[in-house]
Parts: sequence; structure tokens; C-alpha cells
Amino acid sequence: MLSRLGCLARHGTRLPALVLTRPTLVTRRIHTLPALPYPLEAGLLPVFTPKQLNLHYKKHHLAVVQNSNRLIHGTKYEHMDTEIIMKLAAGDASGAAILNQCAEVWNHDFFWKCMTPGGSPPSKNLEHHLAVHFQSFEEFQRRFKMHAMSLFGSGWVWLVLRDRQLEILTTVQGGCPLLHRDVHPLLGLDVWEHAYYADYENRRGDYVDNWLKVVDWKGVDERFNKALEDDQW
Amino acid sequence: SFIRPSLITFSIFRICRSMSFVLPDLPYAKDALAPHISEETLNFHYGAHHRTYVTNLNNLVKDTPNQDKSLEEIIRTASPGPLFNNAAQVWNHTFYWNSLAPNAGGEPQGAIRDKIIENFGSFETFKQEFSKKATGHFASGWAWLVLNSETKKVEIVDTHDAGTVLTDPKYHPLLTCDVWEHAYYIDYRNARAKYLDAWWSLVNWKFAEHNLHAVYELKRRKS
Repeated sequence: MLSRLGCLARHGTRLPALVLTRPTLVTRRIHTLPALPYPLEAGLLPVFTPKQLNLHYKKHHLAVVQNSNRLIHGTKYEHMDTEIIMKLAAGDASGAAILNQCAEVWNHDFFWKCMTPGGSPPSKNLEHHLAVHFQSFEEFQRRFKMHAMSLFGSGWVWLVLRDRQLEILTTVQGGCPLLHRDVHPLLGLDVWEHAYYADYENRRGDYVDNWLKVVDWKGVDERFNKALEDDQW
Repeated sequence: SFIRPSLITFSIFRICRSMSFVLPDLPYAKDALAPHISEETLNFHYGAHHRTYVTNLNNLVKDTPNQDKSLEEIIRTASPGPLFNNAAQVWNHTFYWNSLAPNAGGEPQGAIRDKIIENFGSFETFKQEFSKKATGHFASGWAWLVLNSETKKVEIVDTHDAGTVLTDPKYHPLLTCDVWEHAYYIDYRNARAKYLDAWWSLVNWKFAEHNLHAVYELKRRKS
């Protein structure tokens, strides 16, 4: 089966994504702590000191990786892709704990990729689209911060593309943008208290201000363009 | 309107209805719970978080019919949203400060002890179950020891975010443990289980006993 798929791929035939990732053809999937795109020991200034970054990555992210692996072990979810686990667990009355941990695995994986030392600016094209949906890039940042400040409890704030519209989405508790229909996550911010408490205590506003300075807009741009392309299929 | 006896000692949040809500005094000095819970934590948890909920609540009720309601009335009648969240968090935190005390902790005596052993088999079993519930609660929330007036048993309940047992008439709160990250992050970082150890060293069994007796008194008066 694998060789036939390989043969088809070599001939440039586009196969549905589900066939290409059929779980029985790959080894058992377990979650792992991904490599950070920047050195842990430097922190990610000005938003995270090394202490804060270390705590978040090595304690919280690692904990959800370990918890999710422990919870899916020996269950029907064990061989499945994270996104599929989440979607199935969301519809399963006894799947709440698995959903929570797997959502946080995915969310954190994505979070680290959204940042880069010094940040990177948005392309003119993306700035234009942000202006179409939010009046201006600055207004988008203001509204994104407002969502972050008003999120009560533990959750995340996202910039997403849905139906070719840029939107700000918030998720709480075990939420993940992949659980929302036709949503492409482009940018995500963790506003669980653990994301900022070591450096900022309760000053979430200062955290968001500093986070905006390290956003990797180049990555957002790539995801945006890919999402528009995917939506054409 | 009726104020539950168990709450009289701390629930007079304002002297008369035309005044705004005030942050109640802590029942002890800010360094009194150290080393289990540090003064720094109290400075932020009480001085910033709890204070902010009071400020927000006052801003939300100002020039609305809610400014004439008691805190408990607001909690019981508000729809989900900022008004409920802030009001409930004001109440929850006050109940939490009272659930802790310096030179407290250990095991209970008297009626509360009897009830715990009656319903859980042993204090150790109860302690393990409470710790498991509190430590295992995902994201923000609270763990409560309550008397369930339907089952007549003491039970452990957890609530999300600003959720409070006050909104469920069958539950009478006896103790609470705040498991929002801000409650323990300064002292214990992500180690919530260690924070629970601290909570057990501070748990105010006298407050729990007082709350239990107040429920019994209420039942006696009704019958």
C-alpha cells in the first residue's frame, strides 16, 4: 500500500490528506516536546525572561505532552493524529480530559512558532488584508489586546481566517481553533496565567504589549497564503 | 433579604445599599500565612486580584438596578458574563480567605470531623479525594467542601472560573480552595499539588465547623 501511494505521489497525483496520513501505515504517534525555534536560555525578550520561557516550555508544555500520552495510551486514540483525536474526543462524553490535554499540546506547539526574536513585520499584502478587516494594522493590534484583556479565566486569543475573512477568535479551557468549522489559525496568544505570571504577575496588559513586539508576521503571512490556497479546493 | 448565618461575619460588604462594595479586610496580616502562602502572594492575590474584582463590580453596578442588590442577590440573578464573574469572584475570594488561617491546618475536630468520617470513611480518604479534585481541575476554578442538603452528606465539588456553589441551593459551602494559577504561581509555580499541601497546613476547620453549624441551625429554625 505504501509503495503504491509513493508511486502515485511521484506521478504528482494529489491524494486526499486523510489517505496520506492513515494511522495504520505509520508508527504509533506520541506527542513530544518540539524544539523551540529560538534558544531557550536567552528567553524571548522583551516578552519572556529565560525564567518565564523555561517554566512555560519545560513545565507546562511538557506536562500536557506527558498527560496526553498517558491518557491516550491503550485507547482508540493512541494511533491517531492530534487533530483527529481532538475532533473525536470533542464528540465523546468521556473524552473531555483527552481533549483538554491534546488541545493544549497543539496550542502550545503553535504558540512557539508565532514568535521570533525581535519579531518580523507583516507583508504589505497582509497589512492590506488586516486593514480591510480591522481598519488598520494598529487597530487590529488594539482589538487583539482588548480580547486578550477581557478573556476571563484561562484561554487563548487567535487571529484566524474563516470563510476568507480575518477574525479574532477566543477559546477557553480545552478549546482549540481546529475545533471550529472552516477555521485556519494564523496567530495565537496564550493568556493562561502561567504564560505570564512569573514575569508580569497580574499585569496581563504589559505582557500583551511586549508579545506584540515579537510576533513573527512572516510566519503568519505564510499560513495566511496557504490557508487561502487550501480554501480553493 | 435573608443573609445566611454562616456568612454574617464577613458578608456585610456594604453598610447600606447606596454605598459601593468594599474589599473586606483580610482576617489576618498579609505575612500571617507564610511560609505556606507568602506575603508577596497575598499582596497580589488580595491586593490586586481581589481588589480588581471589587472595583470592576462597582463599575458594573453603578447607575443600574444592581447597585441596590446584595452581593448574593447579584450572584444568584446575573446571567453569565462580567457582572456574574466579578461578583462571584468577590464572594469566592472572601470565602477563601476565611477558609485559611494562621496556626491552623491539620485535622478537624467535632461535628465536621464526624461528618467527614461518616461520609468518606476516614479523614485520610477525604484528604486524598479533595487534593485529587483540586489538583486535577483543568484550568481556572475552585474546589469546595459542601454540605449537600439533598443527600445530607458532605461532598467535594469543583467549579470553573468564577463558578460558585452559591448558585446551587442544595449546596452549603463549608470550605474552598482557589485553584486559579494566580493563587499559587508566585510560591509554587506549576506545582499545584505542593500548593494543596500548603492549603492543608492552613485550612481553617473552625470556619468549616461554624458554617456546618449555621446550616444545622437554619434547618432547625425551618422545622
